[in-house]
Amino acid sequence: MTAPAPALSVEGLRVAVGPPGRGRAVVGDVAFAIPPGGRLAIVGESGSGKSMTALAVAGLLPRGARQTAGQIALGGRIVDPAGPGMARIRGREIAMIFQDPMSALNPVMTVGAQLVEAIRAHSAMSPRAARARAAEMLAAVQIPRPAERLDAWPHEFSGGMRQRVMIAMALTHRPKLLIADEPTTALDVTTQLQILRLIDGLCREEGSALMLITHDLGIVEGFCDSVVVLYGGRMMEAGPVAAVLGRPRHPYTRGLMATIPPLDRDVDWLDPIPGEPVATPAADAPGCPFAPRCGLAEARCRTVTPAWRPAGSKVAASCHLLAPSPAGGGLS
Amino acid sequence: MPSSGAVTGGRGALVTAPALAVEGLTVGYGRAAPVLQSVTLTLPQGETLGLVGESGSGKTTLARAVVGLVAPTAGSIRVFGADIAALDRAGRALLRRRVQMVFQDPYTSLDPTMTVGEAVAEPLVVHGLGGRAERAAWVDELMRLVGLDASIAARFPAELSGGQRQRVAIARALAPAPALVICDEPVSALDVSVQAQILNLLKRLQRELGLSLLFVSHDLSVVRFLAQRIAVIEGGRIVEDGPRVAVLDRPQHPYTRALIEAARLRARPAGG
Repeated sequence: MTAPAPALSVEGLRVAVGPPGRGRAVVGDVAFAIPPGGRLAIVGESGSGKSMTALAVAGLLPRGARQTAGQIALGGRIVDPAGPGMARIRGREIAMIFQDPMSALNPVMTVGAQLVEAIRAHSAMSPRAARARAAEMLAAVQIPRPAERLDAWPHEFSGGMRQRVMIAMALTHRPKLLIADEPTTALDVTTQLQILRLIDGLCREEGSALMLITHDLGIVEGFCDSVVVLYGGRMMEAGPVAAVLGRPRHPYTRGLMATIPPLDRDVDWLDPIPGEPVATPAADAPGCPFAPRCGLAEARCRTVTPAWRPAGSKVAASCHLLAPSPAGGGLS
Repeated sequence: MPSSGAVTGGRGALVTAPALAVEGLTVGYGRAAPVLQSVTLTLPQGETLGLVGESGSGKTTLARAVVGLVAPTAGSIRVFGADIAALDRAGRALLRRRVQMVFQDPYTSLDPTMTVGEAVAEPLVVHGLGGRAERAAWVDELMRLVGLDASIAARFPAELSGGQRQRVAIARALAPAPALVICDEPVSALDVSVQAQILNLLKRLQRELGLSLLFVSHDLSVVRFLAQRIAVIEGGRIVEDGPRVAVLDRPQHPYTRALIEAARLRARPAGG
């Protein structure tokens, strides 16, 4: 029996910015797969390449950035996200929601008109039927009095309501993959939880796979089943959420856990990672991008890029110290 | 008669006066519902009070009222025992020196045309503290205190990282030797690995300098790390107020429980 093709598979993804030939890689050798209905988190700080990875998959890279290597497949079919066929795929097979729902909505169109446009972009539905469907969608994202709200303008909605509209729009055509790039970062904390539960519930109902971009490990723990940890445009560690967060192998993942204040107990001091993330990394430079901030770094960490290797059941990581070193020791 | 000397705080002040005592504070604009309604809060000297709420809760208005940037409709604010509405001119000048603020966004709170050294020294110049040589020595000392290399004093804010800028903003706030520091979401714009550095710094400074800290935040895990007491504000009212552990481990108000549940999204996962 063969396993069903993954909803999304990414192999050897590389994204560069700047002029061709003289560009700098901001994402290097990123690879992962999401099974149908699976929920993957991509975690990282500023400059980790997490948003660039998401935009590359959706074929929405900003001007000046381009995919220079790698293969992206949707449901087992290889696609070219930058190619002309992507417009038919985006919105129907892949949908994306962003951090700021105000700038993603058109301020001079009513909410209903935007939903109708999204529905009719990929179906031959009549305007009247599309409007009825739009009201159903607003109801599905738990907006009260949905039929009346179709005539509202985006500025009449709160941030949380706007994000609900974006979710409704994204899930219109039951995509196989929903990409959510920091969908709750701009919202109030109690609204964040409601929106994440809504995304989670609707993805389960529709059977959509979820690729969630976040910097919050608590969100990863609560809403995803596997996780990719990025730093400086490269993969540090990946695996099932329970394994990676329960027993982080990579010094960066460990450092990230220790740096966050716990909610359920008192600690006198936090264990910060020294220094700050580099805003514009060179993901193709030799060595480990985390080496300058890593307390365990050795000479080879700065000169030799560590291989991606298994680091436990279903977990893999990129760190020299995970392999038995000539001096003995190692982390695992 | 209001005594301006009482605002001094620190060693010279009466130990019995809280750093901050807000009583029945109401702030309203026109006919709209008041932004703050009968808010009562106490911050004992040398402690940290965490004020937790979401946007629109009135937490920033409260912080601004304490530094006299917002006029109350009713109620009183006492800083080290002195009613800030009854201060004379000298008292108000002293208040502006002894109460300092650190803001959320270190990108907009620093003047881009001033070097770091000028920005940190500016409050000293404004308050007429020290001569040129003394100010330069104090700026060096402040830079060391917040963990910045003295060479950074010659740079401009645009050349610094987010964490470095927030350290500069803290050094600038500490320059006139305040006794009460109000921090309004000082780490929410920073990456998590940098946030921990600033939180440790604030805790260390609070202890070493005996500062009283009003720490305004939406994040209960951050507040748990820093504060002895927590006040929860919703819709301009304090809905719960008490010692840190009691509020977090035995919350009484449903809104506090909702905030705790939401804070798990940000907090260290259970595995860690």
